[in-house]
Amino acid sequence: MNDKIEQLVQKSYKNDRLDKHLMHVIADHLSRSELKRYIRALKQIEQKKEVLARTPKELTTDEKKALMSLYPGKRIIYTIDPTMIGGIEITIDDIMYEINLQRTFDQMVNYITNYD
Amino acid sequence: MIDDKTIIEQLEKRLSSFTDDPKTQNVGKVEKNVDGVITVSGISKAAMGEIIDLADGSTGFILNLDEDNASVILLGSGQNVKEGDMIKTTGRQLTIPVSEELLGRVVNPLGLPLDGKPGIKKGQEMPLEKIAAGVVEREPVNTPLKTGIKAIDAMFPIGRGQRELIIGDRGLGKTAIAIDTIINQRTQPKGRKKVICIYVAIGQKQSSIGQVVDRLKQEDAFTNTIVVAAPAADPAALQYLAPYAGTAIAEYFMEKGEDVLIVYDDLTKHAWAYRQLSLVLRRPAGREAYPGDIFYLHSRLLERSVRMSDKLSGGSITALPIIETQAGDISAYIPTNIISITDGQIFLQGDLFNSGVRPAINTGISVSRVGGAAQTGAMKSVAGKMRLELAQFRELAAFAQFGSELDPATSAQLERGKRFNEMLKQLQYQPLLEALEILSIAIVGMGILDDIPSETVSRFEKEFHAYAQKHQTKLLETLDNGEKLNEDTQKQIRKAAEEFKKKFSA
Repeated sequence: MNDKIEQLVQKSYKNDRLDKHLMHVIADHLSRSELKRYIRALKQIEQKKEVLARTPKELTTDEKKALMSLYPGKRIIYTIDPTMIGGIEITIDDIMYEINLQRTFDQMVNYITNYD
Repeated sequence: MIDDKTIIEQLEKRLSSFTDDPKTQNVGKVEKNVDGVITVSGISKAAMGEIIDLADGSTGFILNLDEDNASVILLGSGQNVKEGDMIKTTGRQLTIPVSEELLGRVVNPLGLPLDGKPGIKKGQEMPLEKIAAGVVEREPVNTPLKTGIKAIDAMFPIGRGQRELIIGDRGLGKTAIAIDTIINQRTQPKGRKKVICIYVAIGQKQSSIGQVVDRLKQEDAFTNTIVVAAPAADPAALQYLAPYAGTAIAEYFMEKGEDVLIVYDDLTKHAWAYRQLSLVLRRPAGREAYPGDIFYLHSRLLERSVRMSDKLSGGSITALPIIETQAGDISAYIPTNIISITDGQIFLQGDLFNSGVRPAINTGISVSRVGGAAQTGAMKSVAGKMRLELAQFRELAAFAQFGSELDPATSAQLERGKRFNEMLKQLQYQPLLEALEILSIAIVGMGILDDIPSETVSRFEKEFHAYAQKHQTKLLETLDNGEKLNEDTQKQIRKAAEEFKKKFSA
């Protein structure tokens, strides 16, 4: 059953992009449980194609180009979170790489507070 | 008064050792939030039992790892956890911070204080789940742990490192036995290590836990006691973790060479909490809707109560698990599980309680599998005879009900048994020193009380104890030595009792 769903998921992509028309055609022919697995598999693939970048302020054009060169072929989604103060947080699939100044300050306070 | 310069120097010194490397974490997303359990996707590198941080600042831990998702048990209310929230793994298993500062405190299973005082600042992180010590690392149980309750110390003695179950219906005095045992640990005989006590309250009323803490403080027994509380209002996850948290604290002290007493009150509610979690996690339900690993839940907990060999630490954990039965049914699922794990049980019976026998211990079916190995020579010499007399009394008591005429020997046996039963009654919160226990059993066993009405035995005993503590201190010291009673000591006991009897008015 999972093989069937995997094959259908692979066939839903043309030129490495999700074909929405094909996706609807496939979805119409699936049972409820199959449809759930199909959607979950599509989400997992889309997640692998995305990179989430969170920064305290907007990145410059050069910085964005540097990121794109690090992750060729992936779609980079930028979010701004001023509470970070400094640093960057990059999430690829389910791994997050983080340098976060706010977190560093919090850990520093914790480290000093627990001094004996 | 520390000046600014010193403060700055100390801060700089502290910060010089601070490091902060870029962090890599495994993240996921909340898919569902149902009944205190969240289903998350992602976190492909998560481990079973790993702690998870949620977006609202609360935490949980993983209890199910499926193909595409994981189930996380929340340690908070989970009201602010929404679908789509990000969650992060921490790489840590559940631990509790433990140090000597915990003595005299009331904490929850995560180590957070519940008594209004500040949390402990530094502590060794002890894992809640740990594999029990192996066979080679253990030492046989041969050191007594005195409860101060005559019936138990004489007939079902508990040793340090033993697991002794206290089982009975509600309201029969199971917690009372445990609390009296804790109170009795405030003083120890010469040559014996102090005992640190841990009371784990699982699913109890908060008012009951408060009463226990107050009583321990009144009896001056709280300074060496830690209370781990997961009351009925707490989520099932905390009630599930409470006994493991208590055991982790006990292991900290045991590894330092201390002797620890831990009371689990009670494991029936612990089983209910685990059943609730398992049903929400959609695990297959077995007998009485308990999950298939309900036995393992308790066996892995109780196997951690051990007496360590002297080469390792020489410490011990003695466990007193409590189980509540329904209508005296000890053949139910959970009771039989725990009976097969523990090293004996103290069975409390409702009709004994109602007829005024308190503690309402059924001496026929209660047992301690450690037995005489955990008794001093002095206690063994008097207790053996008592056990035999009581067994004979139980057999003959049935005949006495017919009202027919009995021969003098049978009548004497019955009267002796009645006096033993009267002597074994004991008020709550009044644990006895071993010397006084031996004295009480000896005077009944020698027949000194045969001519005193059985209804006055308790009063005689109480007044005789006061007399002995004032006028027979040498005798009490001799009994405290623990050596088997020789003829000379027996003569001294008889002489003291006869002297007192002349002054006693029945």
